[in-house]
Amino acid sequence: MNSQLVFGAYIPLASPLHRLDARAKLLMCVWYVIAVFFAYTWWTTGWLFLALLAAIYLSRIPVKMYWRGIRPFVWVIIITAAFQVLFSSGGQTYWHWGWMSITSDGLVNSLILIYRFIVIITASTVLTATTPTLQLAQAFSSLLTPLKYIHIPVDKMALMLSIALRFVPTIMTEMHQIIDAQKMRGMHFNQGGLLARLHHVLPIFIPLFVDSFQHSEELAVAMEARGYVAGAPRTQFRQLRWKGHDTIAMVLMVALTVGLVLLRTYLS
Amino acid sequence: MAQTAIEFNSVGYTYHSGTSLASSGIRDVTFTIPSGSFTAIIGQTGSGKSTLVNLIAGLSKPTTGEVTVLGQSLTKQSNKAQQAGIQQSVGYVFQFPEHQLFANTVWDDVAFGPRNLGWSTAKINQQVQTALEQVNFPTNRYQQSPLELSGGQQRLAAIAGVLVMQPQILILDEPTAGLDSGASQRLLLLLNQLHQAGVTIIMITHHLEYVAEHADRVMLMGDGQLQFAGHPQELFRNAELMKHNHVLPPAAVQLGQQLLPPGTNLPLSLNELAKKLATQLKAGEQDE
Repeated sequence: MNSQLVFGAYIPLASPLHRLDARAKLLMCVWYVIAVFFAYTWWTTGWLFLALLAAIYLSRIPVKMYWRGIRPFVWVIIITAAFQVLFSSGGQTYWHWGWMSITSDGLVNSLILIYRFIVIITASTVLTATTPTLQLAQAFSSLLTPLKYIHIPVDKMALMLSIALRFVPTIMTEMHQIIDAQKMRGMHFNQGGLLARLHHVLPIFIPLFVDSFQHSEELAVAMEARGYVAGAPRTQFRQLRWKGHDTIAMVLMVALTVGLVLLRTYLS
Repeated sequence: MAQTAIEFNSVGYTYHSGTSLASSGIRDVTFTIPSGSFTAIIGQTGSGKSTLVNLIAGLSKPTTGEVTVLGQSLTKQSNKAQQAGIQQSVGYVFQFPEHQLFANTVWDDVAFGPRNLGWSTAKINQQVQTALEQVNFPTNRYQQSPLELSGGQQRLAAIAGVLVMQPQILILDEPTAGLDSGASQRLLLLLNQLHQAGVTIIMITHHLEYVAEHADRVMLMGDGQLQFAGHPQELFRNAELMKHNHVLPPAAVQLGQQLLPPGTNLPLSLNELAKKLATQLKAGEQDE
């Protein structure tokens, strides 16, 4: 009964984006996120947003799903943006009270902040929704291979990453079941003040932690039973293969960046 | 016929409804469960059993049709308060219910539900005591941490935590999973006692033996639809339907089908089978 659509969960579909090499997608996502920080005019932000829309379209995943990915972060975004508006200065001042003020710079900055939040979250959702977590971890370790030469345990880090990602849906499913179980025992989450609500967290998180420890113990035993040795060289059952369309995707990223630079230089 | 505890009127439930990933949990399910009955729900994994009981428990709202539980109705338009109303009158023992234990002591954990309902301390103490006695929980362990208990005892504590709310309807999802046979038998005995006391029991199970021995009604789910609802005898007689849904009748029924003359009432337990065979054999001796 895996009914929960979790932020970051892989959605198996057959889209052009799903077919790309995981390394290409990871690179594109990191690249894109970096590019976002170089965009703060209407033209440049619009250009990157257009690219994101294209990626969403190519992923064949309904926009509604992406909205569900952003929804949990809405409050974080609003609060951060509010701080940005109230506590930054510069430009024209519209209103001030004590050390709080609303200035034109503050408003612009907070708009950029909201934009970055939404765009970055959505871009990483595109990545995780179109790439199975194992492939993602594999891509991560493959791209970081050079670091092995300076004795950074890339494989172990990749394993930790893939285990962590692998258990997100499991733990979410468990959490929902525990919430349901406590609901059936008369717990109401949306009642009472802040303190009462904090109190409601205990009956959920304590069982969740106990379960997670059990999972990790079982997993450790299972891995050892199958002969896992930490740090031993590993082979992969599914090899990542770089194909023509991956190169094309990279070329498109270059084009996107060139476009960004041009827009920054000539239309600002 | 006794009063109706649960009524489903062409109920459907779709996961992720309105998105391209929409997948239907159950479709067009209609049935009634009489008050005080012991109903077993069987079916393959993914056949819609859990979806069905989540609707009975008021944890999800139907996407089509109407669910009525103890006179309270639930449709797509219902609000959270209406769902909460049903949740309060139904007890739900989830699969591996020991995963819900969280308090410092068994006693506190069992008292969690009643405290949420705001009962008086005296009433809470009395009910917790009753619930723990009901499940035969060892008295010297009331003040222990749930984490120090054996798996079987944890299960009992968790079940006491549901029984303490005195639900009129009790849902159990695979209550014997992971228990040894002795603990399973004791648990089934407890369910029988609750059944005698008038509680409506709904149990999801893969053990057809339990269905045969304990349930007075069985519902077979397959592919999101209700394939059969009625007495276990009727189901076991319908070999075609069982085969189609990949359900194997219990050993006693299978042996009975092979050994007893066609048309006799199928034995639902090995004891019953032994008795029937004995009478048959004795009758045979007299004929000679």
